[in-house]
Amino acid sequence: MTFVDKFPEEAKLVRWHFGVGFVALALGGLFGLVQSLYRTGYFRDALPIDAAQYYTVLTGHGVLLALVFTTFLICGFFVWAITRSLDRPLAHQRVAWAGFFAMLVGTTLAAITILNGFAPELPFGSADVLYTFYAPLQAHPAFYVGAALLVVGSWVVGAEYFLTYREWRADNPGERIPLQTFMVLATFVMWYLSSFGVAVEVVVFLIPWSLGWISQVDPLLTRTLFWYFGHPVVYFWLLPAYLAWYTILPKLAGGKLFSDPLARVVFVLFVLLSTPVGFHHQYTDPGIAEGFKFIAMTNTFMLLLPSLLTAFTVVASLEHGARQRGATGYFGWLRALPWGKPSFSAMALAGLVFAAGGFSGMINAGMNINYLIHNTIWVPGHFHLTVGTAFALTMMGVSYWLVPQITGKQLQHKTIAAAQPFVWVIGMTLMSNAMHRGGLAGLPRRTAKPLFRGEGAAPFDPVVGSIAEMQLQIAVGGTLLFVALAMFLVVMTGTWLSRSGVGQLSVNGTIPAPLSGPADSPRILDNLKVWAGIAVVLVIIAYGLPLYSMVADGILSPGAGLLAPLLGL
Amino acid sequence: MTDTDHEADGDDVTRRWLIRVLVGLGFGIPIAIEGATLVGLVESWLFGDGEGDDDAASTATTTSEPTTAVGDDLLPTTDRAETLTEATVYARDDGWRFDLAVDVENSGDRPYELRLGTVTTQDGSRVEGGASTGRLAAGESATLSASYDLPDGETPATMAVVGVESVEGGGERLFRRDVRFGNIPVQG
Repeated sequence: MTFVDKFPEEAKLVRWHFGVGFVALALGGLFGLVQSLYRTGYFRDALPIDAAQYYTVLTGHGVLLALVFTTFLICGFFVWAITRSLDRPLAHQRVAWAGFFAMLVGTTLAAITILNGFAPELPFGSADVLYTFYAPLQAHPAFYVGAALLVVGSWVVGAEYFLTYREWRADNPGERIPLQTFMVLATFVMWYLSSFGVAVEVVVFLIPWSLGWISQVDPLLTRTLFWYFGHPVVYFWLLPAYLAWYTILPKLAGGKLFSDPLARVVFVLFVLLSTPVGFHHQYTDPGIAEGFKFIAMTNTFMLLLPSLLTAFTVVASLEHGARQRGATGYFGWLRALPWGKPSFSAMALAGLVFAAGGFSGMINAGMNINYLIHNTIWVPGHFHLTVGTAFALTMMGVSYWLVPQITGKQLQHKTIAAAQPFVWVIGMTLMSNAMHRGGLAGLPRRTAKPLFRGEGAAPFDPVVGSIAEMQLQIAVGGTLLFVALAMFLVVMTGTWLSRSGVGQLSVNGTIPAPLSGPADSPRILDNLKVWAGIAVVLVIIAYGLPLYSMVADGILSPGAGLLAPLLGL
Repeated sequence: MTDTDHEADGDDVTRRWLIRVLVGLGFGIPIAIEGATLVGLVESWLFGDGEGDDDAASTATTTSEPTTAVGDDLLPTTDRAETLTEATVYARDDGWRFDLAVDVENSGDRPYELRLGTVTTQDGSRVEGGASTGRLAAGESATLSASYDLPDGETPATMAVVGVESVEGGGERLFRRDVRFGNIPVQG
């Protein structure tokens, strides 16, 4: 039975999450095209923005894609994963809907304040603070309230996952947690722990500051709270992709997951290590002892382990699937994979691109070599491989497979769908490659006109190629990405608007049992309370003293002392 | 329910030629781009900047024309101090302007004069203008300011500078240099 027939209310919830996410994707993607053309100077005069509005576009691109699109897709995808793997409806649908509407209201508030950058006379002011919205850039209070609602809404939806699990556990004492549910819960343990930092930043500091209740904030403290969340959010994006790679991709390849225990170990490692790493975004910040930056670097490199375990497990699963389909030879099995199936090719290509993103991430994480590329366009080049492809393209692949199951409608425009992942990867390769090379040459990020009309390339020293050639490559890559995005939206819109009940669906939600099942692993792996407790301890070790030092130095005014605000000093 | 999904009935999706082309391009283009980048990086590491420049010429260019920034001496070959104390490009609605200031200290034992001349932009435009300290007696100091109206969007690359030392018998000894600027900040 199709998911929509078995769990119609849950399917509706997933559809709404995906629908909002796709709208954010469309608008954010359009901003991305404008951004790439404006920044590189191609058709700049024809674009309807000026240099100041570039930052409105940049903020919209980042917030709508990195925060809104991701959060809605993740929450919706996890509703499907929990329901399917526990084989029961949500325990309290109203809780999940409440979370959804909180996220929707928050998104609307934040989006309006951002879009007001195009019409400053409107009452919401503006919010050109980029998606890394820490001080000293200041937005209208509605932006921060919207951001807070988005995070809190996701917490509420997440609470519903735990409530549903609790009911399942009461009915199934002693059972191992189904793998997809385990992955969802582990992801949200990490998300609760890490997003707490940005919630404190926004609610305690930025909202009162933007309302004028307090006159100033400590930029270092608020930056630290942001990055406490700002790097783990990467894993909030990636772990749903991992869920898809571990549980859906092997099935699409015609095989089974190689090892359930390894998958659980990977998610436990992410629970433990995802959060105490944020200082590696602050290597150039003064006021943080080098030793704590070193701890963050060490933890970041430790995170390579679960990623490499994933690469091994998923590739082994794909090879198993290909050999089940009759493939032979050391590399011959690669040809037997179903590259013509868009759900498979999107996820598999996303995984390959993520490997490249992992390598550039190692450069970001290194305390010494980070200085070479810090705040250069290398960094966007890196995260367009991770969130921009590993997550986004995986979710596109998931959508090709899941949207028919949550709508009961056949996937439409299959030829366009088959081509779309490849167009995306070609566009991303062009854009990201040039961004990485530009970063090595010192090209700054977050800048509307880095070259002053394109002729000011002399201060930059490219190692490979020329600045003009990189600019062209970025513009072409960005355009191809927008074309691929449009192809995806055409397929989704066509599918959504098509008639339901026309023939039998060619996809189903059955996930084959892994080759090595949960019984092969110790039960302690399922004890998320233990792992959450250890994660908290690691966070205290990594952040306790530095945060205490910042607070003791003056919670709002560095140098004023701990009690200065209370004493009115 | 089967373990795998079957989309084979969609002939348009699995057209063999289309998939082959897509896979070829989808893997071929990234491999070509990343391969070319890798080769370029290795070449740069092994042979320097490449582009046909030999190492000697490249080194000579670098060493003979170091960039000058605020705090640097404009004419290191003189025994006077001509320190660049301010250099800013102002991007205003009525045009771009380059303002600079130089502290000159005639620490020699003969009269001395510093003259600022033509500025050349990164785009190659020549902007006439200049300023002079006038004749400074031994031990005398002065601050020299100059302003140049630049073409919109252009930043200064070099400036002609001349130091004039009076010599016995009424003659002059000239110290000429085209000062090459480093990054000069642009303010709105």
